[in-house]
Amino acid sequence: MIQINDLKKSYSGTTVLNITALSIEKGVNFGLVGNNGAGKTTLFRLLLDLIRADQGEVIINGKNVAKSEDWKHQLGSYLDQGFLIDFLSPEEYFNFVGKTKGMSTGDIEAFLESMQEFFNGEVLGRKKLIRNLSMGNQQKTGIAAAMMGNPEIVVLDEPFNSLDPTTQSRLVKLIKKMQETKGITFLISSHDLNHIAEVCDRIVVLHEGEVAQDIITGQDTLETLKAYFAV
Amino acid sequence: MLAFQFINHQMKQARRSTIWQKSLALNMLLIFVAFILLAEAIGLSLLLAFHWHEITKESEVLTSFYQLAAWYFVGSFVIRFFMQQLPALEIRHYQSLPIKKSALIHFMLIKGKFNFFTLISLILFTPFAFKQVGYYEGTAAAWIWLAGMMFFDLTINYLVIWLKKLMVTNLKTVSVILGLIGLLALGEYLGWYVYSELFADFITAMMENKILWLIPVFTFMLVYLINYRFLRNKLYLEELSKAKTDKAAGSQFGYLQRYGMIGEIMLLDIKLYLRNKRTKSILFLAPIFLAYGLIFYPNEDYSRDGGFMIFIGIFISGFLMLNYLQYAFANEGSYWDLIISSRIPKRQYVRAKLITGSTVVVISWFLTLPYLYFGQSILIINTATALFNIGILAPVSLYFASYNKKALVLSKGSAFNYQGTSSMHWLITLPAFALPILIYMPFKWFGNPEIGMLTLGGIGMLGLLFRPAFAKMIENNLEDRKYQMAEGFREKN
Repeated sequence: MIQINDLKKSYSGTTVLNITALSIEKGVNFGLVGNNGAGKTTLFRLLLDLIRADQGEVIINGKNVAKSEDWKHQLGSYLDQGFLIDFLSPEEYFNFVGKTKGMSTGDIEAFLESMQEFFNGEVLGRKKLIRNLSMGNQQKTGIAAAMMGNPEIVVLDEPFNSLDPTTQSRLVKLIKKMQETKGITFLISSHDLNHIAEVCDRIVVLHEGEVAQDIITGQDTLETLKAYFAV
Repeated sequence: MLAFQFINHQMKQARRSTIWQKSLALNMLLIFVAFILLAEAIGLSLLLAFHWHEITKESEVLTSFYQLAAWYFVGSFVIRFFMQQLPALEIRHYQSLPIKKSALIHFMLIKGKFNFFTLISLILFTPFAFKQVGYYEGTAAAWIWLAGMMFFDLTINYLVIWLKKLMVTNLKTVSVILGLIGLLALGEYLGWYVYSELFADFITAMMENKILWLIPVFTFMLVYLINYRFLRNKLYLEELSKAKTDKAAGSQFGYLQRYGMIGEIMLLDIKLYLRNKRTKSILFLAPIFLAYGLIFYPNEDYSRDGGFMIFIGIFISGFLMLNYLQYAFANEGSYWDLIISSRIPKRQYVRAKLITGSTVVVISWFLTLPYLYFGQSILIINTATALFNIGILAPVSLYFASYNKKALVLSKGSAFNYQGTSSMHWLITLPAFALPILIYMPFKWFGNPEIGMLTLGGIGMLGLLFRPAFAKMIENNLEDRKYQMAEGFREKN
């Protein structure tokens, strides 16, 4: 589904990402872990065509992301606050994002209804603009918007950050449910080893821009990861 | 010791901000403008000091100057209210450190004392004090007089700071303040009372009885204390940053959603303008710019068929459009990643921007129809320039908007705010005004100004005809430059 070939990106002489080959299959939730500066966000940004690759390509369903825009219809994403329009209310934001994804007003309402548990009554109907929401509620807004419009793939960068413990477990549940019922494949980066081992079927460890480990999640994955990152 | 640390940090903040480092040309221009203003103030002050007794027609030389000063303070109050930035020491970093609250507040307030307007007052009053007041009353009195005037000035300074902290600048407060000033002027005009004479009498009384000079000193101390108390009570993060939740303005334009994706983008831009401080203050300025013609159109001295009128015409109907389209992308800098990773077709995105820009011109043109009162020729100028704005300047500014690589920080007011602007802005703005004049002038020189107007409007119509081609160029350019823009926008200052 996603094929990465010989992808390289460097900033002022320092290589921040260098992946010879990596393919991500449909239906296999893909986790990305690594210390700060390992290249997680850079990889996601290249995947979404937000930065220009120095070399190599990312192919989504047969299309090079830098040369076509068709893949945008199959992908939802939330990387950081650069995806939020802070002067809109959450409702207006969902409406705008939904419309860009070709949803009708009815579709959007039904979608938001299905998200009520995840929002925990703190996002909708509060008569607040997104910039007046707490970090956690902004995060919920962005994550939910990424899942709108039945995408095949959802890319989330550190989704567990700033969420409260209850919402973290709700997000785990939500991701698993979306994977099973809607066939969405998630690409998730995180520092939270517990959660990522829980929701991902395959975990790649990045180190200084290169793939250091590629693990199919099993019983002892968490131990392996903890051992890898232990000092 | 602590004060030195604060000053040090403030200087570092100013020097290391990216805008200072990157747009040297713009800063040179600003310094140049400030320099000109100061030079003019010095010239004016010398003129007043040496020639006031000739300029004034009154026999009471000093009293008539006091009357002038009375209105100077009113004007200073108004200008400060709209233009002056509140002194803000970024307090957040310091609040968790063992630093006394009072030290933070005093530093913040004293920093507010040193500003451009206070400097202008000092320049204006000093020569007069020693030349004129000193001549009539003696040098010692001149010193006291000058000190008194400066205390008046500082009182106004802190009054403005307090009022601005107390109220938000919105249509209501602006109209209340303008209304009060208008009432003050109207009262004097109709002779109910004479504010400037009352003020002059007060100063004269103080010149006779020096102890009265303590009054301005005490009022200054009082206003400073009010400020201090106010800030002291407010010195909690939540109250300083976001005391109130913003209102969701702009929902009344919801019908735009019926026009599909283009309508959605237009609606988003309307909300952007109505809900952010910086764009909102530009909207407040817009009526003033529409009224700009009132200065020039009624005056027969300005030749009706001169190039200057073209400039005014372009300015009146184009000011808001130029501002909107030049920053069409930079305004969206904070969520640019969403825009380029979304499914919004670039084609529709560009079209929506052009339609909104053109609509703004049409509305401006419509609102300035009353200028017809000053003659048909004005209507022709306004129409020709509006067409030129829509047909040519709108697509050109949007094309060059993609060279603005700094996201605008929208949460700060627009007066004196050059964050995110660059020399690029001036490189576009100047030709934007020069081009139509260059097109028009040859016709005027050959004695056919009417044909010049017709040509200007015609070129605008032609531009409108070729708009799809223009839109395509903008689209391709945007596609080429999107990575560079995204990278620039991600860099928060």
